[in-house]
Amino acid sequence: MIDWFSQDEISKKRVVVVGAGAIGNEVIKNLALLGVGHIKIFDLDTIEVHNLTRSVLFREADVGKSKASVAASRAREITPSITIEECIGDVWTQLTIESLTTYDVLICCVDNFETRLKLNQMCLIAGVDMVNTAIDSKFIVVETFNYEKNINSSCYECNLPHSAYTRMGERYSCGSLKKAAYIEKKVPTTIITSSIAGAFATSNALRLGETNRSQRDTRILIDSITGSATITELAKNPECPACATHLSRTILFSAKRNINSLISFCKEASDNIENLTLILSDPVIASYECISCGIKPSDGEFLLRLSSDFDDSISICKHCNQESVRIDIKDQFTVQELLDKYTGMFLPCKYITATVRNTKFCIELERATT
Amino acid sequence: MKEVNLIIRTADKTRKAEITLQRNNSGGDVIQAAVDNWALPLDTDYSLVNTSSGKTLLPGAALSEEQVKDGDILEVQPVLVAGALML
Repeated sequence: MIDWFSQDEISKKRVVVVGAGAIGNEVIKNLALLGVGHIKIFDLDTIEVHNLTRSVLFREADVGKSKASVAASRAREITPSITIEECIGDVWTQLTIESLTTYDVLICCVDNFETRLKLNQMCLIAGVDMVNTAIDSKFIVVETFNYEKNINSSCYECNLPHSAYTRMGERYSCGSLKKAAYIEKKVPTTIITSSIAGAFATSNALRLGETNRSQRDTRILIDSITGSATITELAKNPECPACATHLSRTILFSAKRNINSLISFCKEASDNIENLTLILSDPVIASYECISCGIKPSDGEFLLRLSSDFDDSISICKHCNQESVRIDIKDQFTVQELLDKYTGMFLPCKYITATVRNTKFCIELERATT
Repeated sequence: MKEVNLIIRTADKTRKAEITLQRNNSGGDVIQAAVDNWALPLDTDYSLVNTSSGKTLLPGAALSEEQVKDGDILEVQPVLVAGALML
C-alpha cells in the first residue's frame, strides 16, 4: 500500500521508551498502532490528575496508578499481538546496558537533563541509536543520534551549552549532593506539542521512509504556532565530556561489585593495572570526617555510598551539630587506591569504564534486575 | 578580515538583527548578546544554529573555527528539557 513502509520490518523492531508522560504516551500509542514488535516502557511515576489533559492512554480512574503499567496495558488493548513490557522504577537502575544492546533504538521522553545524560551514556556504550525529544508550550525538538552505525556520531552532550551544566549544578552542592531546598522549575506544555513530538520521534526511531539509512545526526525544531521547522545537522564536539573518549566500540563485560573480585577480574584482562584509572558511572563518597570533633562514622554509613543518596544536610555533623563535615566525593579511582583504602567493600555504581591501550572497556556491575 | 557580518534571529523569527562580530567571538558570546539585548528568558538554555550551513555551532568554538562567513544567518534555538510537566 505504501511503498516506503514495510510492516514486516516494523514488526521486528525492538524499542525502549523511557518516560510515559505526555510525549511517552504519544510515542507508545504510535508504536502500538504501527505494530512495533517489542516495546519496553520505563517510568517511575504515578498518574496525577493534571497528566490527563495531555495523555491519550490515561483515564481519570487511572489516577494513582503507575504510568508505565497503565500505558503498557492500553497499548496492549490497541494491538494485542505485540510484546509490551513495563518497568516501574528508575531506568538507570532497572535497565542494564547488556539488555539495552538487544534493542534497536531508545526513545528518550523524560523531563530533565540528568536522565538524558545518563541515557546518552548508556546508548553510546551499548551502540544503540537514541532519539531525544523535548517540548515546551510552543516548540518541539526531536534529535536523532546514530550510535549503532556511526562510531563518530555526534552525541547529546556534544551540543549542550555550558549554561545547561551550570543550571544542573544549581541543584547540587559539594559536587553532587542534592540541595535539600531546591525547587524544580515547571515547564508548561500542551497536547499539541507533545503529539507532534511523539509523531516525529516515532518516525525517526523507526526510520520511516528512509531507503538508504542516513548517518547524519539531526535536530528537528518545530514551531507549533507558525508551523515552521528547522532541520539541523548536529556537529561532533571533539571536547565532548561524554563521547570524546569513545574512539572505538566499547567492549562490555559484567563483574561482581566486591572490589577484590572486580580487581581480580581486571587482572585477568590486563597486567600492571595498579595505576589504571577506573571511572565510575556515579560519584561516591570517598571520605567523610568532621573537622570540628574529628568523628568518622562507621564505614558502611557513608563510605563508598552513592552521593546521590544524600543531600547537603550530611555536611552537618550528627555528633557536634556543626556544619563542619569534610566530604570527598569522587568518580575516579586508581586500582591501587581501591585496594589500599576500600578492600572488601562494594562499589554501588552502575558501571565502571577504563581505557587500556586505546580501547575502552565498560564493566557493568551485577545486579538482580533486568 | 577580523570581522564578520551576520544576521541573528530567534527560532520563532520574531527578533532579527544584523550585526558585526569579531571572528574570535564564540557561539556562546552570540547567545549571551541575544539574551541580553532581546531580554530572552533567563531560565532557558540556548543553542546556536547556522541556518546557511544547516549545522549547529559548538558551544565553545570561535566563529572562525565554525567557518561562519559574511551573510550567514545564525538562529538562537531554545534547549528544551520538558517531556511532560504541568500546563
